[in-house]
Amino acid sequence: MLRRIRVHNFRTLVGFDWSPPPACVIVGENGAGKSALFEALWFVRDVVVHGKRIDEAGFPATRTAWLDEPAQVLELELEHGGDQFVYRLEARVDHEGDRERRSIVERLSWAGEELYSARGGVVTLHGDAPTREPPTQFPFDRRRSYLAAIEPGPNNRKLAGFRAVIAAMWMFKPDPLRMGGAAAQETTWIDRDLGNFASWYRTKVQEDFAAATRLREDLAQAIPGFSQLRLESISPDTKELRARFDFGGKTHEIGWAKLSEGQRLLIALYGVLRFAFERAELIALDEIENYVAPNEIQPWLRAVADVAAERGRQLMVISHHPESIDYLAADAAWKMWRDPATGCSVIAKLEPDRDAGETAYDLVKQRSADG
Amino acid sequence: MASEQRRVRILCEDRRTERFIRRICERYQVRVEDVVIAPSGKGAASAWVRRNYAKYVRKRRAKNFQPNLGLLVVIDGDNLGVAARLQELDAELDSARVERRQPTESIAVFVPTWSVETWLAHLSGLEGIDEGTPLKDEAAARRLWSDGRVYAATIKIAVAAWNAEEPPLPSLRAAYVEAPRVGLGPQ
Repeated sequence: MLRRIRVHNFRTLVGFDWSPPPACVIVGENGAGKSALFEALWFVRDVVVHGKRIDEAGFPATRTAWLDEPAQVLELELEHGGDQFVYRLEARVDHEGDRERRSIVERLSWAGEELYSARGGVVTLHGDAPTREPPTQFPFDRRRSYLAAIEPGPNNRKLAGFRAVIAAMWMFKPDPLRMGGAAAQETTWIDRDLGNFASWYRTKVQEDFAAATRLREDLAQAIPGFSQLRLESISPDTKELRARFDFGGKTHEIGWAKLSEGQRLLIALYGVLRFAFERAELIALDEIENYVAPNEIQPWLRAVADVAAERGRQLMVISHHPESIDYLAADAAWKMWRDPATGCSVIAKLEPDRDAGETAYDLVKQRSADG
Repeated sequence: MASEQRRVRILCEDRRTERFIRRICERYQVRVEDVVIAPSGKGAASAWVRRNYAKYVRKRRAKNFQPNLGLLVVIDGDNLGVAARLQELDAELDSARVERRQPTESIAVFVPTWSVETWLAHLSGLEGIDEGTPLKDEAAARRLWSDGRVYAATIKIAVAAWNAEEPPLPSLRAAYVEAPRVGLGPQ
């Protein structure tokens, strides 16, 4: 569970500090900073889990346009299975004469004790029992996090556990126009826009037959006539995703490209629900309703909310759609907007007046400078 | 109309109620078309349901209304009970100049009293449950919804026990009479 997030010098997030609830919808006008918040989490995931260099993950272009500060800071407080982690990631760009030097400064603590730090290309590891063991120091790429490179072992279970929590933070901003049907390779990671859904599905369907069965049942409910999702070999290495439909006792099969954008989106969304969310720590969804009708997306949202509630997962959804906002506002609705004086993003909880029958969307419609 | 073709819109107070009622709908193969649920906010969730009741009755009767799409309203009885809550809802229709619901109309109102937790505790087999006092703070009952997985199991048991016998709770008996209006029980 993400207990607190602090972000500074990341797009419109300046001195941003938020303690998210277990489940909520995030609303606000375009440009308010909603997607930037998820992007900041994705940045941490890219660096800590995927081992990307900070410049491969978007730094320094993601720095706030109007600040002239060298350091971008992201700090997360996480709780998992009784463990309390605080992780601080500082991406820096410093100038030495004409040269620009990018580097990462990190600190990870568990229950208040430092487990790991990195600064100036030097990593310090304290092990799982920091007070009893002398720290280990060694040089490492100053633009990467060593956390992505650690091999799980008996002395770094907490570090590996922290990385696993970050890896289980799933953030999606689906784009059905980018979802191709060709699965050229197997992959265990799915892109934020679900663009490589076919390749990811090709891997997952072999790993988890029970989830594949549930996916098929879901899609039979969600898409009229749907009966089966199938991978067909189109070359020695590549398979193509195809969908079978039953209408009037007859079966017909069509290629992924001939499905509508809405059908592709629903298939991919139910796919991540069954193959990813049941193991997720945090589920962050950014505008999932484009291309589908409210009565198509609400059953999926209900299923996601059920998974989150039953398994104690955290759920955050960015939405502009009245039906989704009002459905998710039963848990909590938070609004983001830009402070007119500073241009920085701010966030506040919406408190509809239930005695007056007010909905969260009623409040969203009331545009005001102070939120 | 066959029960598997029936659909329902649920208007209710909170997530806990929603999840329980959706599972009852699944049991009777009534498709949940839409869930309208009170937001987290200030004031009473029951007031929110009351305030929105007329709007959704009107919506159900709109020109493009679909005969197989029913409305199921779930509002806690609290200290008022079933009769007083139904009167309140009728008063909402009167003040909105919306005709009161007809005996055969596909609009059902469940009034779990004291609250939906009272029903869940009773249907899960907890003894000595009565409608006259709130349950939310009693430790024995609270265990039934202490976390997500436990609550999922509680719902499963409660849904299986739904309509299984003549219940001692008057509000549950009243709900069993209402339920067939939206396909949740014998017609």
